[in-house]
Amino acid sequence: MQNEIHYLTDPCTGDVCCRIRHSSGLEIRVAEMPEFSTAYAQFSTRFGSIHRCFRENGKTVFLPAGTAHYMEHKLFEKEDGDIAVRFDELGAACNAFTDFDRTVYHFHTQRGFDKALGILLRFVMTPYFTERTVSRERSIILQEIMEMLDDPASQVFNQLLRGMYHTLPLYPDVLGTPESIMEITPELLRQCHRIFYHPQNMVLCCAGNVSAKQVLAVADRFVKPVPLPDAETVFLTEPDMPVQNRVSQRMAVGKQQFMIGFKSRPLSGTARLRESLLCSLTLDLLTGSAAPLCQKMLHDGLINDTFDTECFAGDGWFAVLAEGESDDPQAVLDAICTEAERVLREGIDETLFSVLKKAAYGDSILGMNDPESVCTALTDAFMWDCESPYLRTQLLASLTTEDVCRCLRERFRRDRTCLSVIAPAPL
Amino acid sequence: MPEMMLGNGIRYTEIHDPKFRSCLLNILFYVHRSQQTAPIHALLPDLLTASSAAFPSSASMTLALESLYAAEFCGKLSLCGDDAALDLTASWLNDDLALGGESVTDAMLSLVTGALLHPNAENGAFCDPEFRIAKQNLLDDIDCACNDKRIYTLRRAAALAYADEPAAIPPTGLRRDAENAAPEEAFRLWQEILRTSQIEIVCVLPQPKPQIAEKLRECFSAVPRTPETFCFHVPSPKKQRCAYQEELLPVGQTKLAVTYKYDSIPREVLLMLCGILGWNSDALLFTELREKYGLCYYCCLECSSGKQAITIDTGTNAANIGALRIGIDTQIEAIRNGRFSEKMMQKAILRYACRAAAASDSPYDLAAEEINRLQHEDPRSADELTAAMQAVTPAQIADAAKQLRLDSVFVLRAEREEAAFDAE
Repeated sequence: MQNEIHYLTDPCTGDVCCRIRHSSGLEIRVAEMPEFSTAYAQFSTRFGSIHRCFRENGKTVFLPAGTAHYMEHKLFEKEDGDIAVRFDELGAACNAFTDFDRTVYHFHTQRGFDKALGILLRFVMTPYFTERTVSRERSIILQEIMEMLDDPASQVFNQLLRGMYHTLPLYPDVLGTPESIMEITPELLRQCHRIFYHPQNMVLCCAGNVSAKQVLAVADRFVKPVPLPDAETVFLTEPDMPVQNRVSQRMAVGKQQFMIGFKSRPLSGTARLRESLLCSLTLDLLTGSAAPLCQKMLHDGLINDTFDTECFAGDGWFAVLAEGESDDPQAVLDAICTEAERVLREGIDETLFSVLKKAAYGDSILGMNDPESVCTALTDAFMWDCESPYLRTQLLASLTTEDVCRCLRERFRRDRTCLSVIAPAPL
Repeated sequence: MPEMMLGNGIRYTEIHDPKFRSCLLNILFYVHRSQQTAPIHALLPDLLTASSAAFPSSASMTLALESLYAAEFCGKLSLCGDDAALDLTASWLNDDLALGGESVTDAMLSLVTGALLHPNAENGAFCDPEFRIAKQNLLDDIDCACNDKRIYTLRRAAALAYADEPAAIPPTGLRRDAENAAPEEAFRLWQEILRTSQIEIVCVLPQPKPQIAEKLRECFSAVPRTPETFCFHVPSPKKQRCAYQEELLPVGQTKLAVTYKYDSIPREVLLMLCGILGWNSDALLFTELREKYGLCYYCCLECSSGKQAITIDTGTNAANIGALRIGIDTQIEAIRNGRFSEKMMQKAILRYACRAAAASDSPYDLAAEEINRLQHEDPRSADELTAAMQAVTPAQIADAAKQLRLDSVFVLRAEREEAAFDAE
């Protein structure tokens, strides 16, 4: 198989990136930005914390929570020590993170890019798991879990996911639990590596002071075709309704923390990106700082400046979230639902809608003005099955007030809510 | 890099780079800290950026910024040794990307200078409800100081290490002082700051825009200025005996913060020492305490050169605290005895050089780097500092480590762990 190269252009800014289908099956995306001094690389796999079950050669395998994150930690360790040291020697800074739907290994550097990329590709594609090293990592990950369990921001979110999803394994946390990580073995990591770290399940994105030619030369050297494993990820059907409408616990916090989730129908590909942009715009119209509801809640002391909203979407889930601190989170939830009904009844403020669209345009332009953001946009586009990373401005331009009304009806349903609360524990 | 004085005690630096699509204006008003004024200093960045006389509510201010293509105008309080800075930042899309060909720059300049000279105030007091909301936000912030256990530990460690010094005052001030903060006093203090603070302005732009310096000069010329002097280098006195403090919280992980103080270490030697001890990927704290013994997930080092102190903090289970304390001391002792390699020294240099070079890729980092250089009162460029680091000898690093003297230890004990031990 030959390398296939396509060029994509942002009609708004003139930015260009290239998309390469490598002979190994690996997807490569490169944005050349020679005016910057730094080059970023992200090497990612579609293996995250939600990948908890797969079928290989007809046999179903269940993974303990936290397996993808454990793998991320262990890939950094090789026979001759910690791979991060090799990057350091070049003046490159490397790291990694695990999310619900992916694990990303990345570095940035001003010099020795080719060497650093070679190290990245080799260390991610070469498993080295021994009983001793895997076992030693447990105490470190356990401390990471303990830290997360003490963090109210993580807990209010994790608890919400537990209250919202029946079968989709968004819960427990990406890190797993103290119990689940005990079940992770070198054999299991090897098996997961073989299945999920296959070039056809991965993407290499680079942006900044680097050329596609450079990237391709390194990839040709270090990424070779391997037989495709006979495996598929398994997800159970997720019901439309949340598990519970309210979940709570007590922690060492100074004021009650809350997170509200509106669960709704998931989408994929470009449709998901468009719907996410629409949801963000709708949230700004409904609850943003310029909207009457936000002002009223602030004036009434129902919320404070920690109040924030976001659209939370991925493969198999789509939700609108609102979080903050309040003595009466149920009243916040009621106020959002009532305002959504009012806006649907009385109509959308067209002036505010136009201003917010203009703001979203500015955000999308400024969001692509440094190598790190561009590199992340390239990876996101792959993970979301989008052909191009430059779709945002066109999709934003296509949003209408009718879309907002549909979004309010479908994605802000009172019967699909869950309220997560962290109440102060007595100190 | 044009640098000029726009008025008495008002320095203006403009950096140009055509690769950026946005403009950044960073204005710092330096203030002396005290326990009484701390909550008002914490309130002012919010009061000045959330509304103004022209945009008298946060809704109208937000609308104005959103209509300028999601321009930003925000503020925070940045601590600088014993002093602080009201640190205001405005950023906006460069004019050539505006859809209607309008001047976003001119609109933002009017918005920012208007907010500084004509804040949302009447009859010598900031207006309600904006003041009331900002004050409630601050009180909530104070109440929630314990939410992030790591930051809380570092703040408590600073209070212990810098006891009786302004640096010990939390950024928000104390609750009882915040409760007493009044809109009249906040307005009076802001007028005083306009007259007396040193003002540092850094602007990062794709192309020169002479109207920015002009507009700011005009803005500040309306204020009679008698700036005070500020010194960001006020060493913290070393304690006769190490101070130790514990606090029990209903959490699962115990946190430890250990502060060391030193007499005088040149900046280039300090950067080498911190790199080898805690900042490099093969730093001793990381490789020995985490990778070799698995005692913790993180073990971080923060340096406050203005106070001549470094703080090392970590989180672990209570049973490891003793081992971690010994481990931290052992790594410092290793450096004192010269047990570090030439390779580690080279990495510390490379790390600094690469970070400095990377700053040129972001307007925010460029501005922050410039402000950092100005606050250190170090005229050397990043290249010159790198060259100075290359000349540092192992003996100088060992001597610097010998200066580190244990000053204070703060432990945030996990109540759940204590209960488990009691049960055993």
